[in-house]
Amino acid sequence: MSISVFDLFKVGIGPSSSHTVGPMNAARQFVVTLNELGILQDCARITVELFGSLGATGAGHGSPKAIILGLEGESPEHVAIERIAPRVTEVREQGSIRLLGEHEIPFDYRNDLVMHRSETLPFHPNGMRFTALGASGETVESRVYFSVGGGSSLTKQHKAPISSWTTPHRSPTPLRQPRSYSRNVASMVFPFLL
Amino acid sequence: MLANETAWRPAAEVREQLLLLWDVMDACISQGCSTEGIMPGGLKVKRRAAQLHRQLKRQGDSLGDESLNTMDWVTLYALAVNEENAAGGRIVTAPTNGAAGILPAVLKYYLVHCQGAQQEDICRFLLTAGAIGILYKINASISGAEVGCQGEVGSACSMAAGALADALGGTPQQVENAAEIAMEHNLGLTCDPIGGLVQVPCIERNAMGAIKAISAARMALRGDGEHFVSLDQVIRTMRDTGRDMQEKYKETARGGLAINVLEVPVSLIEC
Repeated sequence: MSISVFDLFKVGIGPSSSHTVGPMNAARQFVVTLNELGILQDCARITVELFGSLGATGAGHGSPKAIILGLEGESPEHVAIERIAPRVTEVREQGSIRLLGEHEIPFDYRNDLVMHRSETLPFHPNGMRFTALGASGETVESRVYFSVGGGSSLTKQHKAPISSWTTPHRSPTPLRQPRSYSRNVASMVFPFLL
Repeated sequence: MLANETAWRPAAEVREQLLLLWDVMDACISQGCSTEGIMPGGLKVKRRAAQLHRQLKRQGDSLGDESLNTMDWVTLYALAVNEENAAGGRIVTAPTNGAAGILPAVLKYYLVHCQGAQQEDICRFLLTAGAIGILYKINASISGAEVGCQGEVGSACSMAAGALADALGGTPQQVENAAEIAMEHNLGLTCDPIGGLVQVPCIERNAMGAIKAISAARMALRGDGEHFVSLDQVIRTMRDTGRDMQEKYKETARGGLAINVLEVPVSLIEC
Protein backbone atom coordinates (compact mmCIF):
# COMPACT_ATOMS: atom_id res chain seq x y z
CA MET A 1 0.00 0.00 0.00
CA SER A 2 1.65 3.21 -1.14
CA ILE A 3 -0.11 5.35 1.41
CA SER A 4 0.79 6.01 5.00
CA VAL A 5 -1.14 7.18 8.02
CA PHE A 6 1.13 10.22 7.85
CA ASP A 7 -0.36 11.09 4.45
CA LEU A 8 -3.66 11.59 6.27
CA PHE A 9 -2.39 13.31 9.41
CA LYS A 10 0.00 16.12 8.56
CA VAL A 11 1.00 19.22 10.48
CA GLY A 12 0.27 22.34 8.48
CA ILE A 13 -1.50 25.68 8.56
CA GLY A 14 -5.12 26.78 8.14
CA PRO A 15 -7.57 27.35 6.72
CA SER A 16 -7.60 24.64 4.05
CA SER A 17 -5.54 21.54 3.37
CA SER A 18 -6.41 21.43 -0.32
CA HIS A 19 -6.32 25.21 -0.87
CA THR A 20 -3.56 26.27 1.55
CA VAL A 21 -1.32 23.31 2.44
CA GLY A 22 -1.42 21.61 -0.99
CA PRO A 23 -0.66 24.78 -3.02
CA MET A 24 2.13 25.74 -0.60
CA ASN A 25 3.72 22.31 -1.06
CA ALA A 26 3.29 22.57 -4.84
CA ALA A 27 4.84 26.06 -4.98
CA ARG A 28 7.76 24.93 -2.87
CA GLN A 29 8.17 21.81 -5.00
CA PHE A 30 8.27 23.92 -8.15
CA VAL A 31 11.12 26.17 -6.98
CA VAL A 32 12.98 23.19 -5.50
CA THR A 33 12.71 21.56 -8.94
CA LEU A 34 14.00 24.73 -10.63
CA ASN A 35 16.93 24.64 -8.23
CA GLU A 36 17.63 20.96 -8.88
CA LEU A 37 17.54 21.57 -12.62
CA GLY A 38 20.06 24.38 -12.10
CA ILE A 39 17.75 26.99 -13.63
CA LEU A 40 16.57 28.88 -10.56
CA GLN A 41 18.96 31.76 -11.27
CA ASP A 42 17.68 31.97 -14.90
CA CYS A 43 14.20 32.71 -13.63
CA ALA A 44 13.30 36.40 -13.99
CA ARG A 45 9.57 36.09 -13.43
CA ILE A 46 7.14 33.46 -12.13
CA THR A 47 3.48 33.20 -12.98
CA VAL A 48 1.03 31.04 -11.08
CA GLU A 49 -2.43 30.12 -12.33
CA LEU A 50 -5.10 28.53 -10.16
CA PHE A 51 -7.97 26.63 -11.74
CA GLY A 52 -11.33 25.16 -10.78
CA SER A 53 -12.20 25.24 -7.09
CA LEU A 54 -8.80 26.79 -6.30
CA GLY A 55 -9.62 29.63 -8.68
CA ALA A 56 -13.14 30.00 -7.28
CA THR A 57 -12.49 29.92 -3.53
CA GLY A 58 -8.70 30.18 -3.33
CA ALA A 59 -8.83 33.79 -2.15
CA GLY A 60 -10.97 32.93 0.88
CA HIS A 61 -9.08 29.69 1.47
CA GLY A 62 -5.67 31.35 1.78
CA SER A 63 -4.21 30.05 -1.50
CA PRO A 64 -2.39 33.30 -2.44
CA LYS A 65 -0.51 33.54 0.86
CA ALA A 66 0.31 29.85 0.68
CA ILE A 67 1.74 30.18 -2.82
CA ILE A 68 3.86 33.19 -1.93
CA LEU A 69 5.28 31.40 1.11
CA GLY A 70 5.82 28.17 -0.83
CA LEU A 71 7.71 30.00 -3.58
CA GLU A 72 9.93 31.45 -0.88
CA GLY A 73 10.72 27.91 0.24
CA GLU A 74 8.57 27.75 3.37
CA SER A 75 6.81 24.49 4.28
CA PRO A 76 3.37 24.20 5.92
CA GLU A 77 4.82 22.20 8.77
CA HIS A 78 7.63 24.53 9.72
CA VAL A 79 6.58 28.04 8.73
CA ALA A 80 6.36 30.37 11.71
CA ILE A 81 2.67 31.29 11.99
CA GLU A 82 3.37 34.83 13.22
CA ARG A 83 5.65 35.50 10.24
CA ILE A 84 3.03 34.68 7.60
CA ALA A 85 0.90 37.81 7.46
CA PRO A 86 3.75 40.37 7.66
CA ARG A 87 5.85 38.60 5.05
CA VAL A 88 2.95 38.23 2.60
CA THR A 89 2.14 41.93 3.01
CA GLU A 90 5.80 42.76 2.39
CA VAL A 91 5.90 40.73 -0.83
CA ARG A 92 2.73 42.40 -2.08
CA GLU A 93 3.77 45.92 -1.17
CA GLN A 94 7.39 45.70 -2.28
CA GLY A 95 6.52 43.79 -5.45
CA SER A 96 9.34 41.31 -5.06
CA ILE A 97 9.69 37.72 -3.91
CA ARG A 98 12.70 35.64 -2.82
CA LEU A 99 12.49 32.28 -4.58
CA LEU A 100 13.60 29.51 -2.23
CA GLY A 101 14.67 32.29 0.11
CA GLU A 102 17.64 33.24 -2.05
CA HIS A 103 16.80 34.40 -5.59
CA GLU A 104 14.95 37.73 -5.53
CA ILE A 105 12.76 38.63 -8.53
CA PRO A 106 9.94 41.10 -9.14
CA PHE A 107 6.49 39.76 -8.26
CA ASP A 108 3.33 41.55 -9.28
CA TYR A 109 0.62 40.09 -7.06
CA ARG A 110 -2.22 41.16 -9.36
CA ASN A 111 -0.75 39.87 -12.62
CA ASP A 112 1.58 37.07 -11.65
CA LEU A 113 -0.98 35.20 -9.54
CA VAL A 114 -4.05 34.51 -11.65
CA MET A 115 -7.27 32.96 -10.35
CA HIS A 116 -9.25 31.34 -13.15
CA ARG A 117 -12.70 31.40 -11.62
CA SER A 118 -14.49 29.28 -14.19
CA GLU A 119 -11.77 27.35 -15.95
CA THR A 120 -10.85 23.84 -14.84
CA LEU A 121 -7.95 21.60 -15.81
CA PRO A 122 -8.64 17.96 -16.68
CA PHE A 123 -8.04 15.27 -13.99
CA HIS A 124 -8.92 17.18 -10.82
CA PRO A 125 -10.78 20.42 -9.91
CA ASN A 126 -7.82 21.77 -7.93
CA GLY A 127 -5.29 22.44 -10.69
CA MET A 128 -2.30 24.81 -10.57
CA ARG A 129 0.12 25.83 -13.29
CA PHE A 130 3.51 27.30 -12.37
CA THR A 131 5.58 28.92 -15.13
CA ALA A 132 9.13 30.21 -14.80
CA LEU A 133 10.06 32.86 -17.36
CA GLY A 134 13.54 33.97 -18.43
CA ALA A 135 14.85 37.52 -18.79
CA SER A 136 13.41 37.93 -22.28
CA GLY A 137 10.05 36.44 -21.36
CA GLU A 138 10.70 32.94 -22.68
CA THR A 139 9.35 29.96 -20.74
CA VAL A 140 12.14 28.29 -18.82
CA GLU A 141 10.00 25.64 -17.12
CA SER A 142 6.29 25.03 -16.65
CA ARG A 143 4.61 22.45 -14.45
CA VAL A 144 1.08 21.51 -13.54
CA TYR A 145 0.20 20.27 -10.05
CA PHE A 146 -3.05 19.09 -8.51
CA SER A 147 -4.04 19.48 -4.89
CA VAL A 148 -5.98 16.27 -4.45
CA GLY A 149 -7.18 16.78 -0.89
CA GLY A 150 -5.77 16.67 2.62
CA GLY A 151 -2.75 18.74 1.62
CA SER A 152 -1.34 16.26 -0.89
CA SER A 153 -0.06 17.62 -4.18
CA LEU A 154 0.62 15.61 -7.29
CA THR A 155 2.48 16.65 -10.41
CA LYS A 156 0.95 15.94 -13.75
CA GLN A 157 3.61 13.30 -14.29
CA HIS A 158 2.53 11.39 -11.21
CA LYS A 159 -1.19 11.05 -11.62
CA ALA A 160 -2.93 9.02 -8.97
CA PRO A 161 -6.01 7.06 -9.96
CA ILE A 162 -8.22 9.04 -7.58
CA SER A 163 -10.43 10.32 -10.36
CA SER A 164 -10.75 6.97 -12.11
CA TRP A 165 -14.34 6.83 -11.01
CA THR A 166 -15.26 3.83 -13.10
CA THR A 167 -12.68 1.42 -11.71
CA PRO A 168 -12.74 1.57 -7.94
CA HIS A 169 -10.14 -0.33 -5.99
CA ARG A 170 -11.27 -3.19 -3.86
CA SER A 171 -11.00 -2.45 -0.22
CA PRO A 172 -7.43 -3.31 0.76
CA THR A 173 -8.59 -4.19 4.23
CA PRO A 174 -11.03 -7.05 4.64
CA LEU A 175 -12.85 -5.45 7.53
CA ARG A 176 -15.60 -8.02 7.40
CA GLN A 177 -13.83 -10.80 9.22
CA PRO A 178 -15.33 -13.92 10.75
CA ARG A 179 -16.62 -13.32 14.24
CA SER A 180 -13.79 -15.36 15.73
CA TYR A 181 -11.19 -13.11 14.16
CA SER A 182 -9.25 -11.80 17.09
CA ARG A 183 -7.28 -8.88 15.69
CA ASN A 184 -8.39 -5.29 15.75
CA VAL A 185 -8.77 -2.98 12.77
CA ALA A 186 -5.56 -1.03 13.36
CA SER A 187 -3.50 -4.22 13.57
CA MET A 188 -4.96 -5.50 10.30
CA VAL A 189 -3.50 -2.53 8.48
CA PHE A 190 -0.53 -1.81 10.70
CA PRO A 191 0.29 -5.29 12.06
CA PHE A 192 3.78 -4.62 13.36
CA LEU A 193 2.82 -1.58 15.33
CA LEU A 194 0.41 -2.95 17.87
CA MET B 1 0.00 -4.14 2.95
CA LEU B 2 1.41 -6.02 5.90
CA ALA B 3 4.46 -3.93 6.41
CA ASN B 4 2.67 -0.70 5.67
CA GLU B 5 3.92 1.75 8.24
CA THR B 6 7.05 -0.15 9.20
CA ALA B 7 7.98 -0.24 5.52
CA TRP B 8 8.32 3.53 5.79
CA ARG B 9 9.94 3.89 9.20
CA PRO B 10 10.65 1.87 12.37
CA ALA B 11 7.72 1.17 14.70
CA ALA B 12 9.14 3.27 17.53
CA GLU B 13 9.45 6.22 15.21
CA VAL B 14 5.86 5.78 14.01
CA ARG B 15 4.62 5.88 17.58
CA GLU B 16 6.73 8.91 18.34
CA GLN B 17 5.39 10.77 15.31
CA LEU B 18 1.80 9.85 16.14
CA LEU B 19 2.22 11.24 19.65
CA LEU B 20 3.73 14.42 18.21
CA LEU B 21 0.69 14.77 15.95
CA TRP B 22 -1.58 14.43 18.97
CA ASP B 23 0.47 17.06 20.80
CA VAL B 24 -0.17 19.50 17.92
CA MET B 25 -3.88 18.62 17.86
CA ASP B 26 -4.19 19.06 21.62
CA ALA B 27 -2.25 22.34 21.56
CA CYS B 28 -4.63 23.52 18.85
CA ILE B 29 -7.63 22.74 21.09
CA SER B 30 -6.04 24.70 23.96
CA GLN B 31 -5.17 27.64 21.75
CA GLY B 32 -8.69 27.75 20.32
CA CYS B 33 -10.22 27.58 23.82
CA SER B 34 -8.34 30.67 24.93
CA THR B 35 -8.44 32.93 21.88
CA GLU B 36 -11.17 35.52 21.40
CA GLY B 37 -11.99 37.83 18.54
CA ILE B 38 -13.18 37.99 14.97
CA MET B 39 -11.94 35.57 12.36
CA PRO B 40 -10.19 36.98 9.28
CA GLY B 41 -11.70 37.21 5.81
CA GLY B 42 -14.43 39.84 5.97
CA LEU B 43 -17.48 37.88 7.20
CA LYS B 44 -16.81 39.15 10.73
CA VAL B 45 -17.65 35.80 12.27
CA LYS B 46 -16.97 35.81 16.02
CA ARG B 47 -14.99 33.10 17.73
CA ARG B 48 -17.14 31.19 20.21
CA ALA B 49 -14.91 28.55 21.76
CA ALA B 50 -13.33 30.73 24.45
CA GLN B 51 -16.69 31.91 25.75
CA LEU B 52 -18.12 28.40 25.69
CA HIS B 53 -15.05 27.20 27.57
CA ARG B 54 -15.66 29.75 30.33
CA GLN B 55 -19.32 28.74 30.57
CA LEU B 56 -18.47 25.06 30.89
CA LYS B 57 -15.77 25.66 33.49
CA ARG B 58 -18.27 27.61 35.60
CA GLN B 59 -20.62 24.60 35.49
CA GLY B 60 -23.56 26.95 35.62
CA ASP B 61 -26.71 26.44 33.66
CA SER B 62 -26.92 22.86 32.41
CA LEU B 63 -29.75 23.79 30.00
CA GLY B 64 -32.09 21.30 31.57
CA ASP B 65 -29.95 18.18 31.38
CA GLU B 66 -26.62 18.00 33.15
CA SER B 67 -25.74 14.69 31.54
CA LEU B 68 -25.43 16.45 28.21
CA ASN B 69 -22.71 18.83 29.38
CA THR B 70 -20.20 16.36 27.99
CA MET B 71 -21.71 16.98 24.58
CA ASP B 72 -20.97 20.66 25.02
CA TRP B 73 -17.35 19.84 25.82
CA VAL B 74 -17.10 17.85 22.58
CA THR B 75 -18.62 20.79 20.72
CA LEU B 76 -16.06 23.05 22.37
CA TYR B 77 -13.08 20.92 21.32
CA ALA B 78 -14.23 20.85 17.69
CA LEU B 79 -15.08 24.57 17.55
CA ALA B 80 -11.69 25.41 19.05
CA VAL B 81 -9.76 23.52 16.37
CA ASN B 82 -11.75 24.88 13.47
CA GLU B 83 -11.62 28.45 14.72
CA GLU B 84 -7.86 28.10 14.86
CA ASN B 85 -7.99 26.70 11.35
CA ALA B 86 -10.08 29.60 10.07
CA ALA B 87 -7.57 31.98 11.61
CA GLY B 88 -4.70 30.32 9.73
CA GLY B 89 -3.24 28.61 12.80
CA ARG B 90 -1.19 25.43 13.22
CA ILE B 91 -3.39 22.49 12.24
CA VAL B 92 -3.13 18.73 11.66
CA THR B 93 -5.05 17.49 8.62
CA ALA B 94 -7.49 14.82 9.80
CA PRO B 95 -7.89 13.95 6.97
CA THR B 96 -8.28 17.58 5.78
CA ASN B 97 -8.14 21.01 7.39
CA GLY B 98 -11.82 21.75 6.81
CA ALA B 99 -12.67 18.64 8.84
CA ALA B 100 -9.70 18.88 11.20
CA GLY B 101 -11.76 19.35 14.39
CA ILE B 102 -13.64 16.07 14.45
CA LEU B 103 -10.91 13.57 15.20
CA PRO B 104 -9.16 15.67 17.90
CA ALA B 105 -12.54 16.40 19.51
CA VAL B 106 -13.47 12.73 19.68
CA LEU B 107 -10.01 11.63 20.87
CA LYS B 108 -10.00 14.38 23.51
CA TYR B 109 -13.49 13.30 24.55
CA TYR B 110 -12.26 9.72 24.91
CA LEU B 111 -9.19 10.68 26.93
CA VAL B 112 -10.93 13.16 29.23
CA HIS B 113 -14.46 11.86 29.59
CA CYS B 114 -14.36 8.06 29.11
CA GLN B 115 -13.58 5.76 32.02
CA GLY B 116 -10.46 3.67 31.64
CA ALA B 117 -8.96 5.76 28.86
CA GLN B 118 -5.19 5.89 28.91
CA GLN B 119 -2.55 7.94 27.12
CA GLU B 120 -1.24 4.68 25.63
CA ASP B 121 -4.44 4.42 23.61
CA ILE B 122 -3.59 7.49 21.51
CA CYS B 123 -1.47 5.67 18.92
CA ARG B 124 -4.00 2.91 18.38
CA PHE B 125 -6.81 5.47 18.08
CA LEU B 126 -4.93 7.38 15.38
CA LEU B 127 -3.93 4.18 13.56
CA THR B 128 -7.49 2.86 13.54
CA ALA B 129 -8.72 6.21 12.24
CA GLY B 130 -5.90 6.16 9.69
CA ALA B 131 -6.81 2.66 8.53
CA ILE B 132 -10.37 3.85 7.83
CA GLY B 133 -9.21 7.14 6.28
CA ILE B 134 -6.95 5.32 3.85
CA LEU B 135 -9.98 3.39 2.57
CA TYR B 136 -11.68 6.70 1.76
CA LYS B 137 -8.60 8.23 0.19
CA ILE B 138 -7.91 5.20 -2.02
CA ASN B 139 -11.46 4.17 -2.91
CA ALA B 140 -13.23 7.53 -3.07
CA SER B 141 -11.84 10.96 -2.24
CA ILE B 142 -11.26 13.21 0.75
CA SER B 143 -11.37 16.34 -1.40
CA GLY B 144 -14.36 18.68 -1.00
CA ALA B 145 -13.64 20.02 -4.47
CA GLU B 146 -14.02 16.51 -5.84
CA VAL B 147 -16.91 14.99 -3.85
CA GLY B 148 -18.26 17.73 -1.56
CA CYS B 149 -18.21 17.89 2.23
CA GLN B 150 -19.18 14.22 2.57
CA GLY B 151 -15.57 13.46 1.59
CA GLU B 152 -14.18 15.77 4.27
CA VAL B 153 -16.48 15.91 7.29
CA GLY B 154 -18.03 12.56 6.29
CA SER B 155 -14.66 10.81 6.14
CA ALA B 156 -13.44 12.43 9.36
CA CYS B 157 -16.66 11.46 11.14
CA SER B 158 -16.33 7.88 9.93
CA MET B 159 -12.67 7.67 10.99
CA ALA B 160 -13.43 9.07 14.44
CA ALA B 161 -16.45 6.80 14.93
CA GLY B 162 -14.49 3.67 14.07
CA ALA B 163 -11.53 4.68 16.23
CA LEU B 164 -13.76 5.45 19.20
CA ALA B 165 -15.65 2.17 18.83
CA ASP B 166 -12.30 0.36 18.88
CA ALA B 167 -11.04 2.32 21.86
CA LEU B 168 -14.21 1.47 23.79
CA GLY B 169 -13.62 -2.23 23.20
CA GLY B 170 -15.58 -2.83 20.00
CA THR B 171 -15.01 -5.85 17.79
CA PRO B 172 -13.78 -5.28 14.22
CA GLN B 173 -17.39 -5.79 13.09
CA GLN B 174 -18.61 -3.08 15.46
CA VAL B 175 -15.79 -0.80 14.38
CA GLU B 176 -16.76 -1.25 10.76
CA ASN B 177 -20.38 -0.69 11.70
CA ALA B 178 -19.53 2.56 13.52
CA ALA B 179 -17.50 3.85 10.58
CA GLU B 180 -20.27 2.88 8.18
CA ILE B 181 -23.06 4.53 10.21
CA ALA B 182 -21.04 7.73 10.46
CA MET B 183 -20.57 8.03 6.71
CA GLU B 184 -24.05 6.81 5.83
CA HIS B 185 -25.56 9.84 7.50
CA ASN B 186 -23.19 12.29 5.86
CA LEU B 187 -23.94 11.07 2.32
CA GLY B 188 -24.81 13.88 -0.05
CA LEU B 189 -23.32 16.59 2.16
CA THR B 190 -22.34 19.53 -0.03
CA CYS B 191 -19.45 21.95 0.30
CA ASP B 192 -20.93 25.46 0.04
CA PRO B 193 -18.71 27.74 2.12
CA ILE B 194 -20.06 31.26 2.53
CA GLY B 195 -17.74 33.81 1.00
CA GLY B 196 -15.41 30.98 0.02
CA LEU B 197 -14.12 30.99 3.60
CA VAL B 198 -13.63 27.92 5.78
CA GLN B 199 -15.94 29.33 8.47
CA VAL B 200 -19.67 28.98 7.83
CA PRO B 201 -20.89 26.23 7.84
CA CYS B 202 -17.52 24.51 8.31
CA ILE B 203 -16.76 25.30 11.96
CA GLU B 204 -20.11 24.25 13.42
CA ARG B 205 -20.24 21.30 11.09
CA ASN B 206 -17.14 19.88 12.76
CA ALA B 207 -18.91 20.02 16.11
CA MET B 208 -21.89 18.23 14.60
CA GLY B 209 -19.53 15.71 12.99
CA ALA B 210 -17.85 14.95 16.32
CA ILE B 211 -21.18 14.41 18.07
CA LYS B 212 -22.37 12.25 15.21
CA ALA B 213 -19.18 10.15 15.41
CA ILE B 214 -19.73 9.48 19.11
CA SER B 215 -23.36 8.63 18.48
CA ALA B 216 -22.40 6.26 15.64
CA ALA B 217 -19.79 4.53 17.80
CA ARG B 218 -22.26 4.04 20.64
CA MET B 219 -25.00 2.83 18.29
CA ALA B 220 -22.61 0.25 16.87
CA LEU B 221 -21.40 -0.83 20.32
CA ARG B 222 -24.99 -1.31 21.50
CA GLY B 223 -25.45 -3.78 18.64
CA ASP B 224 -23.63 -7.03 17.92
CA GLY B 225 -21.78 -5.85 14.82
CA GLU B 226 -24.33 -7.24 12.39
CA HIS B 227 -25.46 -4.57 9.97
CA PHE B 228 -27.11 -4.12 6.64
CA VAL B 229 -24.79 -1.83 4.67
CA SER B 230 -21.05 -2.55 4.58
CA LEU B 231 -18.38 0.11 4.93
CA ASP B 232 -17.14 -0.72 1.42
CA GLN B 233 -20.64 -0.14 0.05
CA VAL B 234 -21.05 3.20 1.77
CA ILE B 235 -17.62 4.35 0.58
CA ARG B 236 -18.59 3.43 -2.96
CA THR B 237 -21.89 5.28 -2.51
CA MET B 238 -20.07 8.38 -1.29
CA ARG B 239 -17.82 8.24 -4.35
CA ASP B 240 -20.76 7.85 -6.75
CA THR B 241 -22.78 10.58 -5.03
CA GLY B 242 -19.76 12.86 -5.26
CA ARG B 243 -19.36 12.12 -8.94
CA ASP B 244 -23.00 13.04 -9.59
CA MET B 245 -22.96 16.19 -7.42
CA GLN B 246 -23.14 19.47 -9.32
CA GLU B 247 -19.97 21.54 -9.42
CA LYS B 248 -21.63 24.41 -7.59
CA TYR B 249 -21.69 22.28 -4.45
CA LYS B 250 -18.04 21.33 -4.60
CA GLU B 251 -16.06 24.06 -2.85
CA THR B 252 -16.78 26.67 -5.49
CA ALA B 253 -19.02 28.90 -3.34
CA ARG B 254 -21.51 29.05 -6.21
CA GLY B 255 -24.41 27.19 -4.61
CA GLY B 256 -26.24 26.43 -1.37
CA LEU B 257 -25.52 28.58 1.67
CA ALA B 258 -22.81 30.40 -0.26
CA ILE B 259 -25.42 32.15 -2.40
CA ASN B 260 -28.43 32.24 -0.08
CA VAL B 261 -26.99 34.06 2.91
CA LEU B 262 -25.01 36.99 1.57
CA GLU B 263 -26.74 39.58 -0.57
CA VAL B 264 -23.43 40.43 -2.15
CA PRO B 265 -21.00 37.60 -2.69
CA VAL B 266 -17.78 38.11 -0.77
CA SER B 267 -15.53 37.80 -3.76
CA LEU B 268 -13.06 40.41 -2.60
CA ILE B 269 -11.94 38.40 0.37
CA GLU B 270 -8.23 37.91 0.74
CA CYS B 271 -6.57 36.18 3.60
